[in-house]
Amino acid sequence: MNKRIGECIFLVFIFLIGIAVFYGSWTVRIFASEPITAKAYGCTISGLLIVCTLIQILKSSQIIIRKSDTNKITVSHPVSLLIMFVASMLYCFGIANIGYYTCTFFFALLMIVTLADKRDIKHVIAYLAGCLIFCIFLSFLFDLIQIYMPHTPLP
Amino acid sequence: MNMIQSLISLVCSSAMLYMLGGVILGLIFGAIPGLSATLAVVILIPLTYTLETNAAMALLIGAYVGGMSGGFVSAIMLNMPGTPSDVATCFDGFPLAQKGKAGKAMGVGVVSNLFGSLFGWICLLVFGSLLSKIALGFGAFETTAAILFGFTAVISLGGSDVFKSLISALFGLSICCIGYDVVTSMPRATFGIKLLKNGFGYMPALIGLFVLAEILSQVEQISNKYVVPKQTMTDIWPTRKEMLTEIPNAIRSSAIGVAIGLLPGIGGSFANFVTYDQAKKHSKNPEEYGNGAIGGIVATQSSTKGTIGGALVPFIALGIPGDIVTAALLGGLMIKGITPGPLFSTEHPDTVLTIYNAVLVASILVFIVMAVVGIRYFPKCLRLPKYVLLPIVMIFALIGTYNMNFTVNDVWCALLFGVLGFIMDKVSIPKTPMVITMILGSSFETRLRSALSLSNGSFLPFITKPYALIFIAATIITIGLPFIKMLLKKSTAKPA
Repeated sequence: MNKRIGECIFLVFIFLIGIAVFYGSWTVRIFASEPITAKAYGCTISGLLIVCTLIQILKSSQIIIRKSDTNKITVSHPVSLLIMFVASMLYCFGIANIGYYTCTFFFALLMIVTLADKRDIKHVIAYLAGCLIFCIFLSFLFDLIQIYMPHTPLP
Repeated sequence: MNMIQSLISLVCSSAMLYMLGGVILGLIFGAIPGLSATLAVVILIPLTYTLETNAAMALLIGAYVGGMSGGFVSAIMLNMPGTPSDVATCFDGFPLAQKGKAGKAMGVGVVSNLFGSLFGWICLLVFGSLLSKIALGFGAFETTAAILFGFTAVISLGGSDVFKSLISALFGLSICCIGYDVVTSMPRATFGIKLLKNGFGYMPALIGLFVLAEILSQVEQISNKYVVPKQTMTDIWPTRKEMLTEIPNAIRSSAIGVAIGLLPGIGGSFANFVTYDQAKKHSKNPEEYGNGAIGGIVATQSSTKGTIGGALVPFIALGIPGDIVTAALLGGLMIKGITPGPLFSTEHPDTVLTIYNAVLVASILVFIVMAVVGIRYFPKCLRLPKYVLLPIVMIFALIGTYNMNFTVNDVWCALLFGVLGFIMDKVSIPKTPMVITMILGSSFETRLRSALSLSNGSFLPFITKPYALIFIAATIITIGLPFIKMLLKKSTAKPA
């Protein structure tokens, strides 16, 4: 993808967030009279964001039309990235609903297997042992520094 | 008891061992993205119940100084700041590590750390009472003006892409508008969504934008087995020439650090951007900044350590904590039945002297620990293969995020910002202005609204109050200088 097109898409995303914040600020309930209310502040900031993104979108669009910028966005190893992203989402879900140490074990193992270049049985067993030791270390550490995990069915 | 006697009794007592323990714990916590100096101090507070006051203070200040000093290690080695105060250290530290000069970067960082800490300590000792008066003079107008100056400094770091930096800063400020209103506590832009009600904290954003995004970026380059190449651990310390060249930068940055440390609730994260910007502007070779300039590391490290001395001034003189860590220190003192306030130094002179000396000794201990062990072994510890290092850093970063408020929502936020940061890197939209505005956005809004409520909506006090005027003038200069330079360039180019 052309970098400028990617930039425009991202700016549109920011623009939409700006509009959402503007609308959200506009509808906020005001009780006390202040020189700058929550509504005024939020609308000013998000309004400025909307204007600035719009200007930048127009500037970038002109460059796209003129085809004066040929830089491309490249994503290497998209499969690894996708696995990592999905695994991170599942990990977040898991630490709240399944169990922190259980999920950490599987998450660490999956990441290592995905990122490592050697995946034969011998190495996978070593990774398994490493993840297990790491999780035991974490449980001792977090117990010591008093990090309390969410209540879940598994540890 | 005088200063020297207090110093000797501190160094020769068991308090020294506690302090060493605090320094090491602080350094480790500072070096791990997600864990912070605040957490190091907070988890040590229960241990101080059984200790006598001086040993307790030595332990806590050791963790505080250590925690503030450890963050640059991961910033240099992994391009992932250990604490918010080390974001700008990544700009030049990581490029140096990529050139195989992590040792040099860390050597410069350690020396700058010591310089900033000592500078802050001298200011605390010599100008303590004067600085506390200045700190008292900082009301809502002055702080608003100071934060505004910080915003312009960060935006101006965008270089040729100032407009994109502005968008990034406004994006951060807009995100700060989501959640409960800081003044009236009414929900704003939450749309009834539970996740949005508490807004987005800056730590999940920082961890997402800088740590998780960097992890994703490293996964993309998985064909390189290590994050940084093999490091040459020779030529670690700055040469005499380098030191002489950087002394003005170090003094200026430390002084700015002390001044920013005085302002409640702003701290090192703000200081490192302002000083980086100033160092770049004053440098003879500004183009080197961002590509491994030693001056960038000197500026950021000396300023963030300068904030320690600055933050302790209102704490000791007035009993006002300047940041979260000093608030935790205040808690540690209150456990001992001591409440800092205007009479603190007359009612508990020994404790005050212990705090002064503890800052000095802890700074020297940090230097010794880093010089003897840290510089040699931290790069080796962090030079693990990516498939081992990245999962460990990710797990620690996520648990650090969770630990801020003990809520999984923050972990989701960090992930969201991680993806956002990765995309921002791809489309070349700077992330730093967004983070700094997210750190200071709520503070800016609260102070601006309080200030204008005090003046019944008049902006005039921004120019009638001297400290506020200084920052407004600095803001105008920061915005105007590039334009003036551009005009001068054009006018000199025309005759040719």
